[in-house]
Amino acid sequence: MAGNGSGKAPVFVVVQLTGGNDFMNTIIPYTSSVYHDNRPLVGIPQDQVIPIDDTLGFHPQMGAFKDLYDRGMVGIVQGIGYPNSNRSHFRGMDIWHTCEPHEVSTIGWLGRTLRELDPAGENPLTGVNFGVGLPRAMAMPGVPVTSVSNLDNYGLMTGIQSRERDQALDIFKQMYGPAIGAGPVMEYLSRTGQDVLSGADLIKVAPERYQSTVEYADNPIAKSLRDVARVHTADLGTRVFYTSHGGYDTHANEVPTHPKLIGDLSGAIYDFFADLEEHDADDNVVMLVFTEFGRRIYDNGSGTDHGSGGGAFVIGKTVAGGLYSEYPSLEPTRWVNGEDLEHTIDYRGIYGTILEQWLGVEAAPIVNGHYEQIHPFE
Amino acid sequence: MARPYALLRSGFPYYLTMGQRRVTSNPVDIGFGEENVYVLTRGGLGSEVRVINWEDENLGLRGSGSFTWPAGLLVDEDENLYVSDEAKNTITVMSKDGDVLDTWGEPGSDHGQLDRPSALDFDAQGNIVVSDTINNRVQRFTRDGKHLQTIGGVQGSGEGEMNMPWGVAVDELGFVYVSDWRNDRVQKFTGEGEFVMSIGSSGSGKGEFNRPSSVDVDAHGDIYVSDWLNDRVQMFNADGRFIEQFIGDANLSKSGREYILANQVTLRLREMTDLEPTRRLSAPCRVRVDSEFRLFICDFGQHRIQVYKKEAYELSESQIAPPMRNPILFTT
Amino acid sequence: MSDNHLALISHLMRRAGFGAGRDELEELSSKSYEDVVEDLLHPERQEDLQEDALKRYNLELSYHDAVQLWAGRWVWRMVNSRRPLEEKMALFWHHVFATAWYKSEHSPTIIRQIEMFREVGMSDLRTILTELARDPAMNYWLDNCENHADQPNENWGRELLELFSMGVGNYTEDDIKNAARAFTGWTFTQPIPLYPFGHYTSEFHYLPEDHDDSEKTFLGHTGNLNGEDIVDIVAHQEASYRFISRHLYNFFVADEPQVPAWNIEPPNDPDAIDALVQAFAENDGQLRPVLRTLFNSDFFRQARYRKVKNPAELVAGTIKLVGTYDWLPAPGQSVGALSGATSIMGQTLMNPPTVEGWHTGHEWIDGGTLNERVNFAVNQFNDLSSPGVRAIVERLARDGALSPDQLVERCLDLVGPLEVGDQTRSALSSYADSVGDVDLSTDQARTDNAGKVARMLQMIVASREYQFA
Repeated sequence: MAGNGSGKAPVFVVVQLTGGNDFMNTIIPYTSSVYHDNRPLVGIPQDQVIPIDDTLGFHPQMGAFKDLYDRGMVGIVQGIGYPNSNRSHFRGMDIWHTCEPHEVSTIGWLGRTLRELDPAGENPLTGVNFGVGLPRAMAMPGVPVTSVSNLDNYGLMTGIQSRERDQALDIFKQMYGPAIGAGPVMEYLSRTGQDVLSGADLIKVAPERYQSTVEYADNPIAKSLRDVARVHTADLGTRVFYTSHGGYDTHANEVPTHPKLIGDLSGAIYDFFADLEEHDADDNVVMLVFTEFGRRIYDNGSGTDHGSGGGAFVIGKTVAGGLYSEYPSLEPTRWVNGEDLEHTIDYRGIYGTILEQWLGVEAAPIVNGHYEQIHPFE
Repeated sequence: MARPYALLRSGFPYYLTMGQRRVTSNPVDIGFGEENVYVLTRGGLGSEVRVINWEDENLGLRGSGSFTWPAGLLVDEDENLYVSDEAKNTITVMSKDGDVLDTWGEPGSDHGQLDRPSALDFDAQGNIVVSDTINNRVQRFTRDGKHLQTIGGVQGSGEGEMNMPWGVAVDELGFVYVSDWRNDRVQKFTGEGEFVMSIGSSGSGKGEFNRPSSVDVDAHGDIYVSDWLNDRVQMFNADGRFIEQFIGDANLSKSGREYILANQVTLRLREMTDLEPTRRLSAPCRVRVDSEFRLFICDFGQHRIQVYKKEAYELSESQIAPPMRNPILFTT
Repeated sequence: MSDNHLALISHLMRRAGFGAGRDELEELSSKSYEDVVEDLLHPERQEDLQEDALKRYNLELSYHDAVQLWAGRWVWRMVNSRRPLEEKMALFWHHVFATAWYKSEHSPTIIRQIEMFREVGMSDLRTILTELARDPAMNYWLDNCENHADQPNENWGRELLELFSMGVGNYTEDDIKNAARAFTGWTFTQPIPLYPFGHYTSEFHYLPEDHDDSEKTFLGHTGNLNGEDIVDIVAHQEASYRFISRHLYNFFVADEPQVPAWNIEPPNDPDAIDALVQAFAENDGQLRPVLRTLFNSDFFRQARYRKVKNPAELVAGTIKLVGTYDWLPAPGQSVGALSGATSIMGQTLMNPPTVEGWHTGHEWIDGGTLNERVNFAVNQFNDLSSPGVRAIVERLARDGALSPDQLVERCLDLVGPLEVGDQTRSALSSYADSVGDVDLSTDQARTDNAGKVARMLQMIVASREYQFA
């Protein structure tokens, strides 16, 4: 297993930016005239950018993120993507989730990873998703994953009030008792019902145990990452966390929308790592922030449309911060389809980096092949 | 301004297309300020007031997150915005910047109470007339919500009865027009609430309606009705005689043109297809006509505003032959 | 006996429709079982639904976009239609001819495909497969728009044979190639692109200049075959009768293994499949006689609670019990919540995971989806003022006061009648015992005690047995 020096099992947190984050307005090539010429509406003026070096800088709302970067915790993966980017949100996201660009699969890369981390499916909390419905990335037949829409009110019978709910759960437990002789389907239902009860029992200690001086902001991604922190610090054996931040599909009205999203995200990630540090629980956590595609080079007068080459972030105390891969060329002759950024590194190589160098799991069977990796854990 | 004796109707050419999907998404009403145009939108792409200008520039949103089923919008002389919400049974008053100044309305069926308030219009005194859908009536309120009058209130299809009215308008003479939605007709009442006449019946022919969503009246007394599920707007004269219909003649709005020019694939696909349908109305929710005889249609399913402009010459009694009883074939 | 008749009608309505409230069941029970079947087979005998109020308050249903809302409108139709088998057959064909929105994101054609299933779903295999072959959503889904005379694409030709008609093992790779060539030139008109305004639809379009006019041999037939010829041949194969019969059995009668296992594992009930195949053969591939045979058969009547409900059945059936989502949407209520509910239970209507459709039977159930199924059903009974809960309380009130045993029995009866095992029954009894006798004799008593009835109903719909249809 790849070492993090703490003796604790490595933990992986995925943050999905849903809708296609505008990478060019996240890590901004602020000295490029191509950038400013093609983005008369959504372009960020040079003097507002938070510089990283003499060509790139963070969006002005990402001050908190810059702090983490200065502490050497943020690896910026520039130009992440794959050949022939699919501009459909759904297909694009499926490709990221399944590592199958050419055919439709219902099995996710993290589903396969969880099977390696917990082969017998002993702990229903080895993989935990926060959100409504399971992302395809975590789907794999026979791999139990817990999907939590509300950590403070999770599980069965949540529409029934406190004491009466206990009685209802008790009746449920009786009703789903062993169904020996009632046939395999009824037996399967019983077992599944009991698993749901025990998973909820396990996870409910998380909000009970949690205490922190960190005050997260009141927005969806801050709430989700606080939930991740609450479960992680309760030490329930979770190895993979998944959560999403929606609203990045900024075809229109990008100017007020995108800065708010990226600012919320930046603050939430900052608070999350501060929270983990306070609990001495940050040295075995690595976070990947990704999106299904970047956006078009030029704006459409109101926002930007679906594009290709985007960016991702690998964040954590054990990460060697800095810029990885290459920023896609802004040279117009290099634009894909005359309008998109090209990708400079394949996303499956970044998955492979995390799998092999962080989680200690062989990548090729999970990402369907061998791809160039980066080395952010030196 | 008195109404002319008669009109030479020269035509009603297409004037302008405004807005685009994700800006004026699913428009249900429209109002005008000094420079701003306020479009009330409702649906999965946003239930709020979108502000644009005559250059079709997107100036932002008002009231985002405040409404469940916003239905009617009014803009007063100070550019305060009045929005009815037929799920919350309220009228919200906002400043032009979106600050909430007042909210009034309570659910119920007593006088002054509301059950799904939908369309709104000002009368000549600046009071607000509200279509009170489930109560099958129209009510008049002061701008701060004091109840003044009730018209109707009986469910049915007889004169003066209503079945889930949606649209309402008041003309400059004080008459009140109601698009009596589930009865497929428009009813006209005096300002005191006396039934005057009814226009239309169920169907898709001329003068027939499939669930009329709104009505408005211009300064000539001409009546415009958005014929919702027939995807058109019909025009009647003050006596209720059908004159013509509008099925849509949109071109690209300014913002739409800019959008397409930034999208090479869209440009190509438009070269591969028949563009005739792009002109047409889709489930128009609201028609409004202004003092310059511009006809604004909220083209709900196409996320835009279609605008026509009336060309008519006002005639005095001496310029036109007197009314005739019989049609004639012989003309010189 | 009459109780059994009602229970059998209830079974029929769960399978041929989406369940029925008690009033409806009692009304139907005045007819013979066979007459009820006949009414189901003739949807045109019943009025279609009025959707004007639905559209007025879910305004985006006034045109074709917002696919989740349209999926919700479909569930709303499942709940409210007086022609339940029409909706059930549309769902059946959606399971078999699984076409997803996500590839094209083109809502009008996906919505239109389901309308087409509703219109021709009970006609005959030739008509249905012809409409399917001409359907723009299917055409794009399986790439037939890329199937050119000089550059054939086999995707549609292959799936037509493998997944939509005959099943693996009944044709050769050459048959696939020739079928694909026969469908060259079958494409659709380019729809006007979505932005900057709204959606426009697309129609079937045949390009004779892109059709391969050379000779083809398909399943022993040789000539300049075109797509219609392939459909005509396929629609009259015994293998197609058998394959669709097995689908019908799996959908309407009892859970079978999944499709990929069908050429390895024999059917649960080979005689039943033979009977359906025979009905197809004797009626030139017509569906109605086959469905008549199926619903009137002993194997169907005896298959009560032998199928795991699919999410659409669970959601629509539960809504029918509580009587919400009727013709006039409640303030703020969106039918999108109905499709949202089936989605988190693993069935996003109009958006199946792959061309193979959903895995059914016990594969509908995992920890997450069971949690959602139970919570959804339980939550529908939170509102004591919902028409269905009030109707059940009114019915129980005719008995005055109910002992704990009576409470269990009567509630199980009114929810189904639902047949439960000993464990469920004793768990329900332990709840009933904890509340003691329930008095519903006066208005006041009903107000005070309706919550106890509703809680009993909640426990019943949380049970294992309620997961079955």
